[in-house]
Amino acid sequence: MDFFEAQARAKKRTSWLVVLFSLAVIMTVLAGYAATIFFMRQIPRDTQYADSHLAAYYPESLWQPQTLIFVTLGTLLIVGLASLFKWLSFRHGGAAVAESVGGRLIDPIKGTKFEKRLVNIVEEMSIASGTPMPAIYVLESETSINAFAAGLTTSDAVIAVTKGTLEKLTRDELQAVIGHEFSHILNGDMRLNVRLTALVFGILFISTIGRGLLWSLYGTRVRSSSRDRNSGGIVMAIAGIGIALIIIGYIGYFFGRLIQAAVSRQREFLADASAVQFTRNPDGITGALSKIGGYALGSRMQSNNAGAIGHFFFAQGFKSMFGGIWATHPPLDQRIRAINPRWEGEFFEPDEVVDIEKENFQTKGFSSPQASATARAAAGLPPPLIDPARRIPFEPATIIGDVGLLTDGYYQQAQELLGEIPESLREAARDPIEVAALVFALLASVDAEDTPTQRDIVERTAPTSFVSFEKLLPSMQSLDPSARLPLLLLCTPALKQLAHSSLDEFLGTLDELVHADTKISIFEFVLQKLLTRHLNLAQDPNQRVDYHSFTAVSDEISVVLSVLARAGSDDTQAIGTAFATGADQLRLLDNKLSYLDPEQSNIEALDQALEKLAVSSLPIRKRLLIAAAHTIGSDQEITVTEGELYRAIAVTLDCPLPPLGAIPTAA
Amino acid sequence: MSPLLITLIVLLVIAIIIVLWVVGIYNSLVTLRNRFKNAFAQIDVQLKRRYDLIPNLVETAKAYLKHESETLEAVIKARNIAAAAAEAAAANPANGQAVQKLMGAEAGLSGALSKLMMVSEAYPDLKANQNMSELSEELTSTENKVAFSRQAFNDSVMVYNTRRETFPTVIFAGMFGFQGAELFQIEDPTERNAPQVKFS
Repeated sequence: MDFFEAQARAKKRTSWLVVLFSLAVIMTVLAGYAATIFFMRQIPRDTQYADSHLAAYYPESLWQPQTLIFVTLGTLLIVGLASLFKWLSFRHGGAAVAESVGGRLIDPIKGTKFEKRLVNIVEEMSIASGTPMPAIYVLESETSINAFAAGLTTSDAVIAVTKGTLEKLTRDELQAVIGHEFSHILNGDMRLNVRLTALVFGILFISTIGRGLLWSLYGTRVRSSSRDRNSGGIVMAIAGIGIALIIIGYIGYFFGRLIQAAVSRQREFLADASAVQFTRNPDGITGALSKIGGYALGSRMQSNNAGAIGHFFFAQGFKSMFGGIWATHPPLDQRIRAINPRWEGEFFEPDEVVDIEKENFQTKGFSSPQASATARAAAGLPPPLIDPARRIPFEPATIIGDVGLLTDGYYQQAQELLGEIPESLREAARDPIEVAALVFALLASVDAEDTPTQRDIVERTAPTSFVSFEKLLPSMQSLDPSARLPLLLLCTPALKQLAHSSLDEFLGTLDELVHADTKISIFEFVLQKLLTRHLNLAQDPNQRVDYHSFTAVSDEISVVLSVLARAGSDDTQAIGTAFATGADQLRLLDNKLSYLDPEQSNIEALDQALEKLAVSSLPIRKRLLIAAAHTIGSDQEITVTEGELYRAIAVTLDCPLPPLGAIPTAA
Repeated sequence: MSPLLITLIVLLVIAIIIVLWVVGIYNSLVTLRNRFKNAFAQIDVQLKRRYDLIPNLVETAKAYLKHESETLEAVIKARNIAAAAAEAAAANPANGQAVQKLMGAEAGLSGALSKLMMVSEAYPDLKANQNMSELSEELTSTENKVAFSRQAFNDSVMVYNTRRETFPTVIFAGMFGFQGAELFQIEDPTERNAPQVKFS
């Protein structure tokens, strides 16, 4: 095959389809307009319009610029909004898409044999296509053969492949699959798709206008029927327009999706041809496609989220509606024949045929932990000690939160802080086996008086971590206090990888350590807050809002500001100034905030106050954080304790700060 | 408005459109030229990678290939010659003779490597060695990368030349001084036979 010609052909067809698509949009708008004029003219003008205010709207001629402008503007508006929405949903780049379907970022150095091979292949294809190297993800739980590229630009692009792809394909075939994905990145297929989707939304809006008309009718009929007997004609006309618009909208939507799918299929042919261009090996891509056809599972994805990003995949990821005319990928045999016209029509035959009916993921050992545990028990195997598949779901968007705050200054600060942490501690923070011991050591190092007691607790409740604990404690004790919090935050990814049982054990020990002495120090409080928040946030991302007014939470705000004011200084006057500076930021509560003495604003009170503030509305939380920043910054200085406390409050209020211990100085 | 003014405005608009169009052509040519220049730099990068990898490979193989020291030495020697030639060529890329020399040295290295791979087939211990299998994957990848970087260079040169020589770009290309680019060709026929790297 001449892949350059095939590419040119696919590109030309795409352009034609895009033109056709634009025509369809225009036709739909015009059809909506025509229907409106037609039904409005159905009303006999002399009788009903005589004394009605509607008389002004009678379409004297077929040319009604106002109506046309209304329909066009409405469609344009909705196309704009839909585009915006789509862009926003990909705002976090390809990485967010890959993580939404359970992708795991590959470590190019520590990976398995298969992963290293994949990294090499992606590097090769990056050279062959002249595109920057994307991030690489593996979908661990998918045993089918599939892959996708995501990202609106080449710089935020990612490539994700399923586990099945890694293991079932040969090097050449995998290379072809990756080459195919590179074509999608290089040709901006994701951008094209976002635009088309937005236009389809716009068409659908016409039917929404129709529905709106019918609804407005429902209201007016009740009022006008008694007064004006002749309004029947008008009502009929409006109802007619409404129904016509609904029908036109849906027909337009159907055909819009049709053309969109056709475009998508052309892009697949283009990508297949590009894969041959990059690899100069047509057998790779045909081999991969033939394997998809041969394996019973094929390319079908298990993840529920896969449908939403179906068009990015290497092969059809889910069953399409309307017998394939909405399919985002051409049938496998067509794709193979496009590359190798002499293909015999025989798919690859796997050595061991997977019977989906009887043999499923569970028996193959790929399913969820519980299910595989039963399967293991049935087979007489001992349950796995630490289940590697177990991963608490986590949404990067909520964690990253305020990326806007990440300036160069923060970055430098973070770098400096990281530099202060000894290498051994940093390594332990990333190691799921040692991380628990590290957190214990961190806690034990803070208060020298408690250390012996805390040693005993660790030895008793977490014997497995005790050796590492002993080893880490000395370097921890010499650690700069300002590096404690960044180190703790480094631990969270490794902690998230802990199995359920180990996590419970870890939290249990932690609780005992915190309560080793009768009083809870600020750092202990901060640590507990941060950890529970970071580890539980992933499980319960839904935020409810119970408090909408500042006055309802004024007492709680007083508690928070009082604690913060005291954290910076022992001097009564300084405390007063700090509190006043913070309270000054909350003008709405001018007279309702008052400084509370240590008895009324101790750690328990702070804890309760934060619980309540966490379920207050976003403006309250934001304003409070601003006030808090002013409180701790009233003396133009921030102590480590203040910084830690502030971060704990921010995290509890679900307003995460930039990662790695950067604390904003008061603005 | 007088007819003269209208004619002037129309002419002005047409002139602006033409200028924008020419600017577009110029910019696209610059983009394409930079692309193939970058692709050429890639070839260099990948060749260097290969030179760095070979000592590791030989080191691992040494323990198992005691009777094949000649082959190993030949690989190292070819590698050093090629690395030196690459340096010379990089220092003076316009010198056709240096590039020619590099081509020859590269061919020699490929030959030596393929001999080593062939020899190692006979040593099952070596094939089973974890390091060796990782290294062979690395070497496969590097050989591919060298090939792909040349291919990417040639592809981008082709796109550039096609754009440069087709109408209407051809009118302006000469005017702006865009020269035709040469494809990367291998003179030595032995280089055409890429080494077969196979361990399993």
